[in-house]
Amino acid sequence: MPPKCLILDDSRMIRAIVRQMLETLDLPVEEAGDAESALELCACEMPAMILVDWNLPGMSGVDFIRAVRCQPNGSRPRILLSSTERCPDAISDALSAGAEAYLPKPFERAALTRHVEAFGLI
Amino acid sequence: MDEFIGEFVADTRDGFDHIRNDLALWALDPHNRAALDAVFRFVHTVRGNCGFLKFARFEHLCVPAEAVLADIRSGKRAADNNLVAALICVIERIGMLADAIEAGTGLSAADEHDMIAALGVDVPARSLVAPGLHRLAARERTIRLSAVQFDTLVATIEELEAAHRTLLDMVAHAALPAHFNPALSRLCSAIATTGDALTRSRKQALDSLVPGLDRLAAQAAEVLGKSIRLETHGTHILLDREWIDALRDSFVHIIRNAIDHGIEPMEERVLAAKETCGVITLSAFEADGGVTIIVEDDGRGVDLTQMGAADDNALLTLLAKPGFSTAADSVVSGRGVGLDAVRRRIEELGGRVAIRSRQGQGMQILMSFGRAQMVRDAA
Repeated sequence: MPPKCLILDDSRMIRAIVRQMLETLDLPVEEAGDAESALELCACEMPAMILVDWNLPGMSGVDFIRAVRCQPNGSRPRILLSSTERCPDAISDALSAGAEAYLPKPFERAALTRHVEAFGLI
Repeated sequence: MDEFIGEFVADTRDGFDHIRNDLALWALDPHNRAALDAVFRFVHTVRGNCGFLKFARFEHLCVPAEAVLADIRSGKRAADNNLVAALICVIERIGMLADAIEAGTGLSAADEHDMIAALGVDVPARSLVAPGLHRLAARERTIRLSAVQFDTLVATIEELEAAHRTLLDMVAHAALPAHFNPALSRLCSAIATTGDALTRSRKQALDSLVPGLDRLAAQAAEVLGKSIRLETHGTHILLDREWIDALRDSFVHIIRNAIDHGIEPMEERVLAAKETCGVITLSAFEADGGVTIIVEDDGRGVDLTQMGAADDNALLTLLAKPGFSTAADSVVSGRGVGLDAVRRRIEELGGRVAIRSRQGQGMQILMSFGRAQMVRDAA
């Protein structure tokens, strides 16, 4: 089974674009439009990688990352934070919450692929 | 990236709908922080999204608006009534632009320069030329044609094609001089191109319905407290516009019913060892010169015995009785609502409807046009 990826973004367009990018890498994809449903999906089965949007309705991307990192089941997904935010303090907050890399929006397929490679998923 | 314009428009329209109240509150009270934050979040999201599509016209509206909103949030600029009104004007234009793209109508950009100038930010003049306009204009320019005029055109082209075939036949027997050939071949290719263009002008991709259905599913799921995913396959195929209209209405009935009555509440799904998120799948494929569209849910299906139906065919007859409703019957409550209308609409266009129910596993509704074998197999 190829490693499963979860896209957490409230924009349908971003989810559709990222889904297409990941599916061309033969990675199965799940989607969530808010952090609460993403946590439910993670509770069922922790994906290998989560692409998290910063700016979400309800629970923020950073709080979601903290919540995932607190899960007791020992599985540690690779977490990539994606945002139009360019403020260094905000980015360092997310990294200290448990994100491993930051992908500025908008991004091209090649940039996402580089992260997926660096995570060892392909 | 152009294939994602539908999602972009749906996101933008949804976002705009969400902040309508906030815009009104903010206009009344420029110091309303919650309204300001919601408006900022909307503009920020649209700006991020249009970057993916390199949608210059949206960027030209969003970038200065976001900069001003950020300055207001950080206290660098004060929000007086004039500035708030100028910002609302730009933000409303963003919403109108998304509506115009979805409706396929035009929206002049002539006043956008002034709208942005009213925000009082320094934006390089050349960036206000909106280089993406030609792309938008190309999508927007449509003309309306009455069905009668269109049918006259089709008949004329068919007549031309027939005359052309006769002419070719005569030429084949007449041993015409060789210098006639280039002109004949140009005529042949022009007639074929016109015929193709005319056929395609009546067609529209099924994809065009997906953003609306996505929204519908999301809204219905929210109201009912269910989690739903709409998946689509093969929706790139082109169909006659009349079919598209009929299918749009049918999908709305079918998807609403599936979410309301087919997909179980989450607890029930967990007990049935199903994913908590219900899945509705819309698949379209071409076969045997026809097109079959299947809308399938992974809900509870229908118990044929309890319904007193011998098979799926009998179930369809029962569910598609005009006005049929099983409101008193919890197993299939309301399943039939609207199915009579769906069946009538599809059959009027020469299509066929069939259903397949698998108790505990879900329901499929098949609609086929042309000589598609699938429906006959299923029925």
